[in-house]
Amino acid sequence: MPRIDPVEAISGLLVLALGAFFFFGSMGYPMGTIGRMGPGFVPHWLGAISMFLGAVILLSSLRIDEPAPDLYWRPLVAVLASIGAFALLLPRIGLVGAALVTAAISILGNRDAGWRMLAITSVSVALICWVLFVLLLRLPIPAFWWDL
Amino acid sequence: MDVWANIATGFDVAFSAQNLMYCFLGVFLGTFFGALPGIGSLAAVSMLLPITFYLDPTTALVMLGGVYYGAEYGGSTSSILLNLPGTPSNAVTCLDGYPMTQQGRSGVALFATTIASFFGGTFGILMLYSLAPLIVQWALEFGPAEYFAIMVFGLVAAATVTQDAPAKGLAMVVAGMLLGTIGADLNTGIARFTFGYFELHEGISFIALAMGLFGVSEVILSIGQKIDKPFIQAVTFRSMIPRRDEVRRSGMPMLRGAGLGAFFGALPGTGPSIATFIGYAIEKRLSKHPEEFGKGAIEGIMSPESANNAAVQSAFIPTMTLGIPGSATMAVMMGALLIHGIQPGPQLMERNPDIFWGLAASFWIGNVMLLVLNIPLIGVWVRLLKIPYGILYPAVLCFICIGVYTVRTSAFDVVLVLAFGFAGYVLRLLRFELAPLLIGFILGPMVEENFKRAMLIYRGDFTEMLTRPISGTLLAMTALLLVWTTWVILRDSRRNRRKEHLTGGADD
Repeated sequence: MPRIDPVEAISGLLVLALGAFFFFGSMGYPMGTIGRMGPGFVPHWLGAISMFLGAVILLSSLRIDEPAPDLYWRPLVAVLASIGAFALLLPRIGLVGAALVTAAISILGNRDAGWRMLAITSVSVALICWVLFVLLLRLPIPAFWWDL
Repeated sequence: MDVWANIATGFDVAFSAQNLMYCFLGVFLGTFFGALPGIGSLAAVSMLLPITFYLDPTTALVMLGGVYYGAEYGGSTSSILLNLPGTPSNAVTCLDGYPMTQQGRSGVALFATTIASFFGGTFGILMLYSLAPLIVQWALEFGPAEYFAIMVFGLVAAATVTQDAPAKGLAMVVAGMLLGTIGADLNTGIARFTFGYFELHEGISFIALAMGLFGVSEVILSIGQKIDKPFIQAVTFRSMIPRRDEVRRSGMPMLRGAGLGAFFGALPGTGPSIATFIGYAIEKRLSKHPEEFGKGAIEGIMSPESANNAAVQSAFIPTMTLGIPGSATMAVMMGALLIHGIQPGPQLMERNPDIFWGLAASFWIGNVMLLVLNIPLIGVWVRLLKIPYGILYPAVLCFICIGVYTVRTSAFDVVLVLAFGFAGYVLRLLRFELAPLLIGFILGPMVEENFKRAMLIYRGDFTEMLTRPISGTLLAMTALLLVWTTWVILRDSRRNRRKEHLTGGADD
């Protein structure tokens, strides 16, 4: 009885689903003919290839067996949230504020970091971003909300 | 045209005070960002791209080129000292570079990789000098069929050559091409898969895609794996002197690495990372002491580092001669040329010889600068890396966000970084290789466009493509590669099953 490797099985399903999404999704666009292809043609057939590859990977999951990887929830959530904060804050309060908040949220992903380190690091990161990108490299980014 | 006259013109351009200054600025900033773990040449080039908008095109490219190969030089520093690859193509250098640090020999490793980088870089530039004019002569005859075939071959090679799981590599290439179809269709202007987001009309920003997939997922994994290693080794000039047998053992690996790097760098699709992996595998197979690999064998850092830098230089060959970017970073550089109204391709060398030859000359000057600078500056980069990762990564994340934001002044692109960061993390957990996805994304739209054009010319008759000599040969090679890969998969699975049968499938 072959065991199923969950990593490979999920991989196969993911590739299969992606292919199916484009295969069926592209049917809403004009297909055209091979000599005069419409916008739907290429994504449709690439989707078909992707579905085929997904099936191959799914089949191979019957043979490989490796330990499942560790999930790191805390860094994952903190890092993604910090990027979201940057996107949200930069157009509203400028680079220095956005960098400060982004750094602070990302540090929450590190279990060993205390409040002192959080404060010192995020303030320094914000200052470095300001000096390096706005003052020295003169990138066209608003530094504070009054520069917007 | 006389080659020597061209080379002389090139050095004239490169030695202007302005170009020298920006070349220096480029290599310095490149090494700085490259040495930071999690920021590769791509992030560094994208971050610095906006500063070059106001420069003249040659100077802009001189500087961005400097950032590119400077970052590849600098990337080996954190591989060796911290076991964290500074850029994806320096990952192999960790295997033997970090053990050397553990043995207290980081000075030798840093010195050796600087020499290997310089050697590889110089070799790549010589290839650029000698091959680019030849390829341009061919390229003028290239039609859409040839462009299509060369890119498909490169993509299939990228997915299959070094992968443990070729089906997953191919799946990533196709996934990248699928993501590449998002946006307005070139012929009809119909918006495909934009879900009503106006920002997606021009397609997904590939800088956002690349930074999310590579940079952000790397940061998440690194925090999770707790890599706050205390690092206290001092690197003095004395400690950089290699043993005599190491000098003797370095020559051939460096040369083989440079050759491999120049080849894979010039082939669009494959790039520095693949060259470094193959270089390492070949040295291990050829070595009389394969058991020393992974424990600090000097061959294990010489070949990959030489290959890496040769590939970086030869990646300019397809970009300049065909207008096909060989790697993600090259795609940003090509974008920089387009912003200045210069169309890379076969006509570039005729219309703007000063740009091509000036760049080639400045690359070599930049490599000399890196050699001269890096040996005294190693101490500075070492001190930079003494900062614990827990303090470094918030800055890295901010740099990534700033880099993505500035390219299109778009907060929407930063949100895409978030989405692709998550996707990249999941894909890494599922043991997918991410590089084929990115290169599929970059070449995908060009493959689609040339395929459509070719089929229009040949009235939908695919066999026309197979009978043209260049496209036919390339497509036959692609088919061979796929057949060979399938054979390897079948062979391995049969072997696995037999082993499972013998051991009861207990391990491995």
